[in-house]
Amino acid sequence: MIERVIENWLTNTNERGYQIPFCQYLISMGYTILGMSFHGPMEQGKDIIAIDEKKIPCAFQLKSGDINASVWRSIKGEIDELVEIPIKYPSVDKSINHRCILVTNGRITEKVRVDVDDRNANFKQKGLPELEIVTGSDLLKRFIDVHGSFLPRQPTDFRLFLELFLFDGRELLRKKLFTKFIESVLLTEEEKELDLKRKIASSVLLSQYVLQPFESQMNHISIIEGWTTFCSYVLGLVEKYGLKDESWRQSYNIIMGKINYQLEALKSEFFSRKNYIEGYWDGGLFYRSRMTIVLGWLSAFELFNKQIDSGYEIDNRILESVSKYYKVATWFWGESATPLFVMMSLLTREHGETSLSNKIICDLIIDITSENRFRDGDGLPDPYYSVNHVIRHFYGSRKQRIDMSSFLGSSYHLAALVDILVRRNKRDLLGELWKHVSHIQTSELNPRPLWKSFMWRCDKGEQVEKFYKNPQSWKELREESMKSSDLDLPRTLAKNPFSHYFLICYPHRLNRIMVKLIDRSLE
Amino acid sequence: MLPDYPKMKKYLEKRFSDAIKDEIQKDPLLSTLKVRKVHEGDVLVSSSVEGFSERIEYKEISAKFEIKNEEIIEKGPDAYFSRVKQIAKEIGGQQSQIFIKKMDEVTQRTGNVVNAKARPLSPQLILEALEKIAFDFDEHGNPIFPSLVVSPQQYEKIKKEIPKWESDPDLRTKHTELIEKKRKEWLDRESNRKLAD
Repeated sequence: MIERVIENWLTNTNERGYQIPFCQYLISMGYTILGMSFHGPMEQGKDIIAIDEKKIPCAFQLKSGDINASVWRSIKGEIDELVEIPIKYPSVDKSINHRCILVTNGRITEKVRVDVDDRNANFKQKGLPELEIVTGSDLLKRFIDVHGSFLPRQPTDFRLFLELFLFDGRELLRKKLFTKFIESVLLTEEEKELDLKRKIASSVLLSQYVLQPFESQMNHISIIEGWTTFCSYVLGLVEKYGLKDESWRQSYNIIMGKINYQLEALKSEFFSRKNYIEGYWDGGLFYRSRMTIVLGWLSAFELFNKQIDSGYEIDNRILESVSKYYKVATWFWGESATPLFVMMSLLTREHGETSLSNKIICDLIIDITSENRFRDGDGLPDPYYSVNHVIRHFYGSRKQRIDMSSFLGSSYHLAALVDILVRRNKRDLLGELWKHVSHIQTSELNPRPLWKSFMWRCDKGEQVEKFYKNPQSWKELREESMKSSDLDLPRTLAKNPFSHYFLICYPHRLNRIMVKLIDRSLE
Repeated sequence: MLPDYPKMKKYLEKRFSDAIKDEIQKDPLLSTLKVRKVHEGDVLVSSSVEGFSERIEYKEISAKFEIKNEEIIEKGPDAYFSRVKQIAKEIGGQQSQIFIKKMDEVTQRTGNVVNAKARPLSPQLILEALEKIAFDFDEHGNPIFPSLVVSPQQYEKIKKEIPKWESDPDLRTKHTELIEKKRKEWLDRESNRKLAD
């Protein structure tokens, strides 16, 4: 049954949609991926460059749909380039003839096959490589092979798979459901490294299938959040089992490529639109939450790029948008929005806009301490309440309301935000706010064991709640905000720019150590 | 299997659990407590304003109830809903016990205990207890008194006495003096809510 669903997915997706599964298939077959482009063919008509298991360089071009005579005529030029122009890649030996492969998720007509055979004879005479062809039916078989025994067979898992597969692609990803599915595939009893490697491979493909509704709508944020969540689970396995790089690194890298491609696409869309309305019944909280999410993610993307390349020039348009829309069109709906604002603050600071950067953090502290004032606050939802929950509270029926009074008197993020201003030595600013800060009990969850930080929910761990001292020593605050406690940090996140994305996706993991990590990542 | 209505039953289950929660909230003691949902972990390490730290492992609170098949067939969901009070009483009772036990531990540790030594509840005893407690004042300078938890029988006994206590000039003076003392303590506490070197 599930094979039929995969077949349905494969025939309905385009070349970008099956690019990740195809790369994962290659990795599983022992290939090393050297380069790939989600933007369309790289130079000389090559979508993916890889080295096969016999160390022969390979160039792939991906297409979608049937290739008949007319399509063949239109792509012949690209195919000639694919075959005739050697792979230009630093570690590829140009003296070795490369393999060139045309891949499509459709069929190839007999007439085209005959033409390919003729051309191959011609290429052979010239000492050039022959063109290999992979069609939809080959692809399907190869993808099913990657899954091995890890396809969801249990009815409950299959139902979960279908529920995700049939989801409305315009919505935000339901992370609770998505992580439940990932866990059903990835997390089982103690495993051998080889099994885990296969499981990762299989779940890459499964994730692509269930993210298809969002791909079809080009819903960038949900795609990004899906893959970020997936990568987090992979890192969780790496931490839990101490996996070797060869078991996961390539899969992780192709997905990071996909996330960054999608962020680039989000950026292009954002700057090409005249307004940001989606569908009807829009505006108000829908609009403001959308703007907050987009600006937060785009800020994180810039910070990511800056961390991997110190020479990277931050895109001024994003800074201008943060300045223009902050407060006017953004909304701090609860602590699940904190990471988005922290990213905006870090980005503006990186560009020297310290006053706006500090204002963003100050505003968060003011909102938390006033909304969650024990006696008379209105209540601000903790990070476990998503934007969907909060919008339902305001726009939904009485039954969908959240008990806002339950948040009074405490905060999960206050201490991390205070630390940012302490590290920036903003004693005057904090002095003004301190009376209100001191009334709030700060909370933090320490997942145990540490690898469970990557799980959506963690059944074991300490919830630590405390107040600041009265009076509170500034010197002590400074020491605490600076002190290095990397022992409480998953090691795969240390110095990893992915931590920016992780925090947005997992706002309930934002704590003092995590914020210190990203706050100081560009130092 | 024979036809079933799982979706509708899930809705009823939610209503049932909400009804139990609402019933528990009718308890005079439990209704004064703020409830916060903790989503993860198995241990709570909580520190008070005074800096006392407490490590608490979460405990399951449950209640058992039985409904015979005949009753289910006859009354349907009402058979379940008729048990709400009984279940709420049992769960609420367990919650109160845990709360009072914890309060006992904390107050014994902090010394916030007034031993009545078999004396009946009196204004002197209440003033003595208030003396040991820190309480806040609102923006108009009015004290925000803590709740006094007594048994229903005890409440019946003292209910009639309260007007007398309130009109006793001596008690009024002591009460005013206590408020002023507490106000000063509160102002001291508030002035300490600051950053020091």
